Amino acid sequence: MSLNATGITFKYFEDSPRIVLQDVNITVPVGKISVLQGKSGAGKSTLAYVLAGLYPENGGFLQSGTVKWENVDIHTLTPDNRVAYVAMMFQNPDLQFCMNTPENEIAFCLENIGIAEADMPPLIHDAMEKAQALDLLGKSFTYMSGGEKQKCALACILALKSKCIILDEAFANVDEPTARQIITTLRGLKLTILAIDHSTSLWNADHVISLDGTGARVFDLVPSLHAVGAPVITTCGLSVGAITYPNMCFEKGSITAITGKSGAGKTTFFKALMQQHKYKGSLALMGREVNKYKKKHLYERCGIVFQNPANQFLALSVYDEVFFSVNHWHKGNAEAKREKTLELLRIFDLDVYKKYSPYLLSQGQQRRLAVLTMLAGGQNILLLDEPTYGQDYENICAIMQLLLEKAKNGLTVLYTTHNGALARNFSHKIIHLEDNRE
Amino acid sequence: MSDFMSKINPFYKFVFIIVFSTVITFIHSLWLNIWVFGGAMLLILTGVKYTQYMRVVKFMLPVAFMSFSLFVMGLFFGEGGGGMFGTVTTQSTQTGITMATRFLSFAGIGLVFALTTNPYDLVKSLRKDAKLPRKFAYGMLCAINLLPHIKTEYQNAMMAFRVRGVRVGPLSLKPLFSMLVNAFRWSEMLSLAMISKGFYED
Repeated sequence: MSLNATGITFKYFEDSPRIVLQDVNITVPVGKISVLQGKSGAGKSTLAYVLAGLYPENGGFLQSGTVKWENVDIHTLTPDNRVAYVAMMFQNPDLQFCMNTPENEIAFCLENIGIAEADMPPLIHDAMEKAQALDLLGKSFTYMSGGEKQKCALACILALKSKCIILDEAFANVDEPTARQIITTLRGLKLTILAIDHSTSLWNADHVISLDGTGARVFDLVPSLHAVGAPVITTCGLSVGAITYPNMCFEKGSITAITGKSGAGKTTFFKALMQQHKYKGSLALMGREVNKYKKKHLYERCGIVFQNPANQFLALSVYDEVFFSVNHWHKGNAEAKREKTLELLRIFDLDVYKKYSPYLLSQGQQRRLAVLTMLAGGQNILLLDEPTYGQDYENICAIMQLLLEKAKNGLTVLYTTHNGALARNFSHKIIHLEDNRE
Repeated sequence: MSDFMSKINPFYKFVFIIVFSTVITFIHSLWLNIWVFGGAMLLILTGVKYTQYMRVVKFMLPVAFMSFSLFVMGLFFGEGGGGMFGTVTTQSTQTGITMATRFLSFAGIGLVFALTTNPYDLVKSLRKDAKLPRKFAYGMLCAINLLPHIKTEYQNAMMAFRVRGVRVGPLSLKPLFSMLVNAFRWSEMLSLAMISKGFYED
């Protein structure tokens, strides 16, 4: 018994020359945890959507191939029947729910499969208990962390009693301990799991499926780090909202990894630095309080790459996106700028996509493009929120090498990560934020 | 203070308010306006939780300003008015007051409804009592849930543009454009998430 995909050939448009998946055959064994791997942009998410029956029903063109659970063809079922076989958990936890609380959301799910309202409460309770999220039952999604939302998403799927769960990088915004906790829960339920993730160790997978022949590699990059300069950012008794921070200091040319549970205030610290949040205590940038800066001057010194990079694109093609930054920050004639842009795109393997819209790139590629647009700028300080999530080994190395080179020339880099090995290998120091909300 | 207004079936309340507003649209009476506005305020004072009072004040400030501008408009440009800062007659004053109170009375009705109705209950009741198709009902709820998300994403977009060295003010269209593109993506993600949970209607 298994979920079988045979001969899948898929493209986004019927007459498009670019084939996303070419004759893919995979088998997901029942009751086991399988991890799907492949290079960034290899079509992992697309394959997941095809397996879940979401494509081609809601987009794209399936040239050939079938997806079957035993003898049931997933693609011939209507969504309400299909959900008994496969359901999906998505990367962005904010965009998974149409109701306000888990209680209402699960009720919505149960209504979809035709369960009467009177029978719902025990089923809802049961599903939340299994997902170990019973304490969140009536809590509003607005006040939940990414990890809590993913637990609720899992509860929904458990309520629907789907046989197979497909997770598309579902723990992108979740810290490692929470992710492990959810995975342990999943393992205990003996469900069929197909997870897209670059880390197999997190999943302790029974089975690894490779989409393009490249296996996972253990992170072993040990760069030789250069000496750092004078302090650039210093904090003293800093608190933002309910979060208090230890006293921190970041030197010129240093690379600092900020780790900690989701909700510990990593992103909040960046936002305070960018004047998006008010703060108490002292947060000084080059000897001057951050809130004394004019925004314009602050942003000339300090760049940021968001967790979700899609909202920082401003051009209509990948090339224009990078060229914009190059043009804004560099002197020289047009030809030199053009060369510089292409060179940068080549470093991150994005040159083949230069005519594409940034929004058509895969999640990993978008993140790389966002890092690139900031690196092309002339800021002295760069804040990166999860720059390497969803990247394969080569691209993590490429991103980090480029950061290292820039840091040698005096760029101060602060990045958040849930990847412990990366933080240990690639930073002058690690700042671990405890969850010390009052 | 009780919140008895919140306990009325939201759909019936909705229908009543639509019908009532339509009827008073055709009646031009100063006293009717004053009674309606007074009634609305009375309902808010007695029928709404006192924790909501701050929202009332926040909402009424721009309303009062609009109402005042309507009064000035009626005063100078209404029937019998003398144009820009011209002569003011009793008739034009009355026109001004009627226009201003009319605006207040509509705002009052809307406010009573908004403060005493939970959008979830309204949609639920629309489904049950008005037989609204599930597609629309859950579509509306999705949109309501997206609002806080849209707000933070807009702030992010503004910051992202500034960091890239693009000048943006509160009226710039650029962040709005990127918001629009993102909104398409969100709606697609949301609908996929809903379908993946078995949401289906033909």
